[in-house]
This record gives sequence, structure tokens and C-alpha cells, in this order.
Amino acid sequence: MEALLQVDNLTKQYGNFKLDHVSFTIPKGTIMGLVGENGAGKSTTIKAILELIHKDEGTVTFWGQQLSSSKQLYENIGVVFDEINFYQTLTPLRVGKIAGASYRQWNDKIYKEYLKRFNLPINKKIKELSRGMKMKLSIAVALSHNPKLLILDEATSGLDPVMRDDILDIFLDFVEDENHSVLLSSHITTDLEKVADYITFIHHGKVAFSKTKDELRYNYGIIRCGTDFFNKLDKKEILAYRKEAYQWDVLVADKDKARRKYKNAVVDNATIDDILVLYVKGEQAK
Amino acid sequence: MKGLILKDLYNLAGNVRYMLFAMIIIAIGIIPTSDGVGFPIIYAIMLSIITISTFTFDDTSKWTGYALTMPVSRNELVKSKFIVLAFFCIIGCISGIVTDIVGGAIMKRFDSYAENIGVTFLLALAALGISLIFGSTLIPVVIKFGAEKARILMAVVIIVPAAIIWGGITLALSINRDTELINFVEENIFVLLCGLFVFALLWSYVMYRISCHILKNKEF
Repeated sequence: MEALLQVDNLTKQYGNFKLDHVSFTIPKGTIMGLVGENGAGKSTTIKAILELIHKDEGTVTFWGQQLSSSKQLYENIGVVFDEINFYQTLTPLRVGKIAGASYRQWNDKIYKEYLKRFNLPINKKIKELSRGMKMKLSIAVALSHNPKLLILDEATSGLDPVMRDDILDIFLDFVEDENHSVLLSSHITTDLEKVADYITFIHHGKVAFSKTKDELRYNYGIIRCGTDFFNKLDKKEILAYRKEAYQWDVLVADKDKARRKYKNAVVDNATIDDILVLYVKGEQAK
Repeated sequence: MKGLILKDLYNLAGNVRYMLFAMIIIAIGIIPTSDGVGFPIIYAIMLSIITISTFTFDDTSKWTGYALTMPVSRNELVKSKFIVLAFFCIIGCISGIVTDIVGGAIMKRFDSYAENIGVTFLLALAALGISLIFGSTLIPVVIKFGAEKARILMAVVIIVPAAIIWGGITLALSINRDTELINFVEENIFVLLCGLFVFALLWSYVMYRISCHILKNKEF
């Protein structure tokens, strides 16, 4: 599949933290979920992709071109950070005028339609809007200059489930056009289970894996077992493990194989949350 | 870049009434007690400071990083600030001239009116120069250190050099009382004020280049 965004060996050192050779690809028409614990490097990755920080190493290409090579690329990228970036005394009407004067591709009709769809009062000051409404306003701005790629950094965090569901539906609508894609950074893994096609998991600044969601959902499993059983497991098959109060939780990449091989063991399906917790809180097999 | 300028103007719109109130209070305080020829300088400097407050709004809303995801370059971002600065310095000068004229009319200073109006326009040119130097010196400082820290540094950057220049002039005048220096200044006042304005433009350009360099290396 043709890549819309290609990240290769992205590296950035920040004191004790290092974003370490991060690589992943977002094909056209897909939603990529970027997951990881707080401080894992998700926001740093997005900032480096958008050239807001200077990378030490690596390349980032959008439609095969580097971002700084063409202003047109910026027209095609809609960005939403974890909070609204327009000053609190502005109104949605004025925000539209500012964005309209900034983007050549700005479509005021679409913007007004989004404001209506999101029930956003056009003349109410941003400071009087709820957090959910602010995020919807940011998303309306991002969608109204006809972008082909949406980049969202924790845009759904702090929202109630109903509001999140509304916003996730918008992303699903957006990728119905096969030339569109979304990079969605979030630690709310249930959101990603709902909408993402691919999951890239960043842990301690490194990509632990970048796979299709279905591969994770249908192939990954967790063996629940006692200590004796754990000691007998083939360590090559273990991705991560964790000692719980009465059992061991062991993450494996092929649950069907594990079920066949260890007939007496309990092998559960693994959610993205389970995988994340085992990688972060457990130990990884050497 | 139009969007960046529009954003600053909209952000400042909320402060206009406070600034107008301050300008009126100053006018009420000064008009009855003076010849009323200093308004362009006072207002131009006041409004050049208001430009700096746009950085506070930007910092609060984390605007700069977001703006850099739009189709604008870092240099355009700096340029927009200098354009807003120039705009407000000009507005300050114009409103100062208007206040001078209105004040003169209210106080019925018609005998010296013709002379004063000439002085007002000359001072307006100086005001434009001084406010440009003032504002453009602050912009790179604010970009480098952020609006909050820059408030503290404002004293070092502006008040200290201004005090040194003022002290130097006062000293020179005390040494050369009623001699060539005063005569020279009086005879060449127009050339000197034009020179000040040209210097202000060159200074602003240097500050613009420095600001671009600072922003180029900044991370968000």
C-alpha cells in the first residue's frame, strides 16, 4: 500500500530521554494509533514529525516529500493537540477567519457545517466552552482546510465517553476517503481498538511494535499460569511477562500456537490495554 | 501571514477599551498642565508595549507551535510580529497627533498653535522611531525567553540603555550649557529626527534578523 507518512529511524536525545530510531508507516486510507505510557515519547514523535523539534537523526516524508520542502504539504495536514491553541477570548467565528486567512484550501462552508454539527455557538468565547467543545472546535478547524492527513496528539483525553465516541466517528468518516489517513496518539486504548487499523506502541522512546490491530487482536494472547508451568515455557515465544498475586501473565504473539502447545494452560485473548500493561509493567523476554 | 496578523489584532481587540481608557486618563492629566506636544511619544511607546503582550496570549495558548503546523514559515511568524509592532506604533503616533491638536483646541492655545503643530509632527516622527526601537528590541528577547521572563528583562533591555542615554545627554548639556551642542541640535533638529527614524528602521531590521535566528533554533 502507498505510504502517506513514512517515519524512518527518527531519533532525538533530550537529557536522559531518547527517542530511539522510531520507524513506522501510515498507508493511505488508514488510522494509525500511537500508544504508550505517559512519557514514552508519543508527543515527542509527533513534534519531530511536524518539525517542531529538531531531530538528531532520521527522515520523515509525507507523500514522499520532506515537510519543509513545500508549503502545500502543510495545507494537506490537519493538526490537533491536546488543548485548543487559539486564545480564550476568541470566538469560533474569529477562529474561522484566522484559519481562513492562513490556509489557501480553507472552506468556510465546511467549517460552518462542522460548527453546526458540533453545536458550537459561533459567537461564544472559547473560555466559555467546555473542554469537549474546545476539542471539537480544534477538530473543525483541522478538517475545514481539506486535509488528507489528520495528526492528533491526545485529542480525546479528558473527554467523556459520549463525546469521544462522536469524535471517533468523525475520524472514521474522514478515512472513508481512501486518500485520507489519521495518526492518533492516545493512551485510551479502547478508542484505538474501536477505530485504528494499525497500532504503533512506543515504550521508553523505542517502537516496541508497529502492527495491524487485527494481528494484535487475533494473534496475541496471554497465558495465565503458575510458577512451575511458567518455568517450563519456551522463553523464545514470550514477548513479556508479569508476576501477579497468584499467577504469571505471559504475553505471546501466537495464541493459537500456545493453545495447541500448552493444552492445560489458560490462554486468553489480549486487548491492547493488556499488551500495553504487560510491556510497561512486566518484563520483556531477552 | 495574514492569518497571523489577524490573530494578533483579534487577540488585542479585547484590550482596546483598557488602552483607550489609559490614553484618555493620560490626556486629561497632561493637556491642562503642558504645551501638549508629547502625546505621539507617550502613545506610540504605550502601543508598542501592547504588541509585546501578544506574545503573552501566544504563550498562554501554546500558539507558536500550533502556528508552525500551518502553512507559515518561522520567518513569516517573526515578520508578522514586526508588522503588528509597526502598525501599533503608527496608530500611537496618529492618535498622539490627534490628541495634541484636540488638546490645543480645547485649551485655546491658538496663539502658539501653528508652531506647536509643526513640533507635534516632528515629535511624531521621533516617536515612531523611538517606539520602533523600543518594540523591536523587545521582540527577540521575548522570543528567546518567553513573555513571562521578558517582563523582568524588559527593565534591563530598555530602561538601562534609556537611562544611560538620558544621563549622557543631560551630562553633555550640563557641560556644554548654551554652547554649540544645543545650537547644533536646534539647527539640525529635522535632519536629526529623520536620522533617528532611519536608524530605527535599520535597528528593526537587525532585530528582525536576530529574532529569525532565535526562532529558527527554538523547539516547541
